[in-house]
Amino acid sequence: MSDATAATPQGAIAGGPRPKIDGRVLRAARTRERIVNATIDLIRGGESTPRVIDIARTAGVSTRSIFQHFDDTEALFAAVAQQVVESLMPLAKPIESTLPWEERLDALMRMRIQINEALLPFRRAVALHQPRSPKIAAGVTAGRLFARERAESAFAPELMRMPEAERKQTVDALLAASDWQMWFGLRMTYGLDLDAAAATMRRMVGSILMQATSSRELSSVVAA
Amino acid sequence: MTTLALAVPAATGDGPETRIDGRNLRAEHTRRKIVAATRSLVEETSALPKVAEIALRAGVSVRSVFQHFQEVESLFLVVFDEIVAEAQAEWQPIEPTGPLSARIEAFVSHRAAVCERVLPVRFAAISVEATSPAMAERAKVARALVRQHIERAFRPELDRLQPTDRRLTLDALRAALDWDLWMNMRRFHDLSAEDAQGVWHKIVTGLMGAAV
Repeated sequence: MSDATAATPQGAIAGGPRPKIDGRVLRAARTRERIVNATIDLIRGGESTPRVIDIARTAGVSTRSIFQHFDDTEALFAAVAQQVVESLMPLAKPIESTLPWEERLDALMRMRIQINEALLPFRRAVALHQPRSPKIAAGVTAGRLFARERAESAFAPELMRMPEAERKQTVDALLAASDWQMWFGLRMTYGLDLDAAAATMRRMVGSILMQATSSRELSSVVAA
Repeated sequence: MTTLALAVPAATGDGPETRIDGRNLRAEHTRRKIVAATRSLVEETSALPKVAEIALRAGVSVRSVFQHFQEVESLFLVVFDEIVAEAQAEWQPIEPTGPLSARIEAFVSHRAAVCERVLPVRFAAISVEATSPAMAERAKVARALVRQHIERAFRPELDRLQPTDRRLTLDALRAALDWDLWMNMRRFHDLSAEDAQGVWHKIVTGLMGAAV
């Protein structure tokens, strides 16, 4: 970041050192990216709070370089969070609410399970840093709001028919049942493999929807 | 109720033994003040307090805190054990008799009360657990106990299932009713205790309904 601020307007206007400044800015951005990716790799490898010295070695930079690019560890973890969220966006397509009920459930479960599985290594790191880091807390809140929006729009037809109180309770339950915390519990705390956890989560979410929806709208029973 | 073992030699009246009694009693009194202060701070802030804060609250010196406890972690574990033991002692087992819906209602309501009670210390324990085998062990023990409660309350329904399905249903119930999920709902989803309990009711009803 300090390299980026070195790109002064005077240099650009004079037309002299301009290519060098662009190169510096590019290199700075690439180094920053390497540091973020190295941190992500270490967290994925099981280290919930990687040490700066390990990040430096993995990224192939000096520890000094890390502090040149990031004011503090909060800034680094915020950049990590942003990168992780961006990498998950392709998984987050809206679900067409005109599809049959079970297909919508399948689509939502595919999305939630893929996102939750990708976020597993970060769960502990987030829990540790969330209280101290406003950026990470904001990121988690944004993730929640996004998950709520996806669930509400996927099951809008069913939810619309409910009274307000029941609708809120149903959405709250859907979110809790498909949340990354639930996934962390199933996969890590209770040791279920991916398939078993996926089947269990689908069953939980499906059964919540079945409670809410009257039986004449659902002719098929959700397979466990 | 946890009882504190007092290292007090038998009183024989006057002389050196009486002075030792006095010193031990004072030491024990200071220790209790430190534990009580730590507990208050944990329950107020849901965080691991700093030694300076504990000393101030307890009305003792920082040095005194370290005389009784080598580090904050062991002091925190004492507080954790105290709170969890009290909550567990209040648990009224749900017997596997009567209609399923009543048992679900009772179990969810009791479990919510326990989790709400230990929520501050559980939240504070997150930062400790990653680096503390002692804390990880306690979580394991607590979870094993909850498993027993679940198996007892829902024995008829669980016993009707094939072994694999029984295992999966039990693990699903355990994951759903885990104290970390309560913490998640209360602290990160911002649900009220009442709403969080309602969510649990829906999830457990769904799981048990599917199992029948």
